[in-house]
Amino acid sequence: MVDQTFTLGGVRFQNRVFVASGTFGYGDEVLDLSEVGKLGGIVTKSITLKPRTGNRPRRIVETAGGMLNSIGLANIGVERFLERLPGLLELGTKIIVNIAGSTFGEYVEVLSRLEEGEGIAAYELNVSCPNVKEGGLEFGTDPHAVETITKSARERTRRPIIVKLTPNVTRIGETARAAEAGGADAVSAINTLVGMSVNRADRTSRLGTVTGGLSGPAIKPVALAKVRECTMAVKIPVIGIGGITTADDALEFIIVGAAAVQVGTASFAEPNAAACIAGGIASYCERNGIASVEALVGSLQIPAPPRLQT
Amino acid sequence: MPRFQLTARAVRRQVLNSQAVIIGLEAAEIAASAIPGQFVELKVPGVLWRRPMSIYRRIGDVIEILVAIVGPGSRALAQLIPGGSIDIIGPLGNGFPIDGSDGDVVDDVVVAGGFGIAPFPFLVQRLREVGRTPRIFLGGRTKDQLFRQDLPAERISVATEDGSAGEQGKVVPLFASFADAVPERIERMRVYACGPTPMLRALQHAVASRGIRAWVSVEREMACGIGICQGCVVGAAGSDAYLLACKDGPVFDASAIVL
Repeated sequence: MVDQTFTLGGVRFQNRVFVASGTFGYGDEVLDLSEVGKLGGIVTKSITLKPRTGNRPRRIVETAGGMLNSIGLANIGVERFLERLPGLLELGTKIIVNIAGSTFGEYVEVLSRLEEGEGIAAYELNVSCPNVKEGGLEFGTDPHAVETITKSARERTRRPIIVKLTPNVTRIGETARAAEAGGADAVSAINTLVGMSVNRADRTSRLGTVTGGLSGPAIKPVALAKVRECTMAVKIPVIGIGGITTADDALEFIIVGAAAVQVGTASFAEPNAAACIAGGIASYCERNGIASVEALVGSLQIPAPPRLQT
Repeated sequence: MPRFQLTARAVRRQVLNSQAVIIGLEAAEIAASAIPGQFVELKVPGVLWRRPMSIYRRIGDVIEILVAIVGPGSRALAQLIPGGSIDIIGPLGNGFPIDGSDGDVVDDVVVAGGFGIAPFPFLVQRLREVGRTPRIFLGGRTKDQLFRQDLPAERISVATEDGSAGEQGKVVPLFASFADAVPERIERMRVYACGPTPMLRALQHAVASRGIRAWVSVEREMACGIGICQGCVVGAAGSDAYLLACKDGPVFDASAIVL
């Protein structure tokens, strides 16, 4: 048996594959088409204080090897989420609640309400949504703001805190360090890259909000490099996200240094993708005589250049 | 409602013209439980998202889809030949409401524009099984955009914008002039419509101003088709809420949405 477990802030997850926020609903929408019991955990849609209807359409565009979205954190709000939570805890996997807000105060308020709910395994702070004008991205690009938000969350909970980082910065290592300094148990990276798509025929942007967030296989090379930068900047675990579609993709992130991974866009076409990836990682380890996935984390080899024989 | 994910074998491929192909897929569970207006999501090689397609017709264990070739996904899908297979999820969405009324109680009317014909052979099939034969109004820019071969010929009225078949003009005015000629039937009329957004908007107006009950099937880009991506939104009438075409639709009461 390959040891796939992953421990974060005292919470033990059965494996290192999670579904990413915003790509799997609240967790109970596709139980008929996915084996959620085989996941390390589910990261919920972003939860805000009040319900949000989301952005005006068009909200999604398929692009070369990826997709743009501008959903705008459409969600049912923390109160209704808490009513739904007991059902989610019956799913046989761990629930990580993703929190978003437009102000510092909103993050804190949502978290405080969630503290009253039992059974939540961890929080992921979404400080990096590119699709909400008033907050999100601005917080995520400012290391000082990231540290402050993380700190105020840390003061209010003993549950593990993951801070989800944006790649839309010059040095993601700095925001990773800020999260670590604020007391985060882990960082997850990357959120979507800002992008747009233009319809030449009528000279319009295809997205209702003009720009949106790019995800899918197209961003995997960027994500790998950003994850590497994070792992070099911090001691806390880095959770890799970005275009992971197969177990091979996930293994690349793990080799680069990701302690765990999240599967996002792939779940849209294949609702059971993440469970298959968890199984695929285990088979890979078995085939190669690797007893624990831990042994692969950060095992990237950077060979020295060959010396000229003289 | 049950949904299934399965590998379906292609058993039929009929090329209608350079832009349109009908593909028959063996998918017993889906065929057994689907209702008209529902769709399936097909995993097409080479593109990121599945492709949503209305169930065009049901023949035993086989469901048919009408593929409009508009881009790389539909082009790849249209290449699927009998013997090949494809991963599909379905049936999805809500479908057209058909209650138990017989033909004396309601007057069923189908209004379709171009590829908007896609869900209707199945609907007509179901209606006829319960003794209801709808009147059908078909529109297209040219006669090449009319796909009528799987509909009962005797009840079809046609409009084309270039006059190459039927009346010259658009399909909604053709339907409206029919409705105006039979004011005594307005109350029991039930309209089912599908087509391009401008046509559906015109239809919303035509039915609202006459007090006719109507349901429209909308087409939206979908990343998942199963209710998780939140991408396929349709504005709800009279509020700032959004509905999901994949879950709350694709069929909506014409008065309930803003197009």
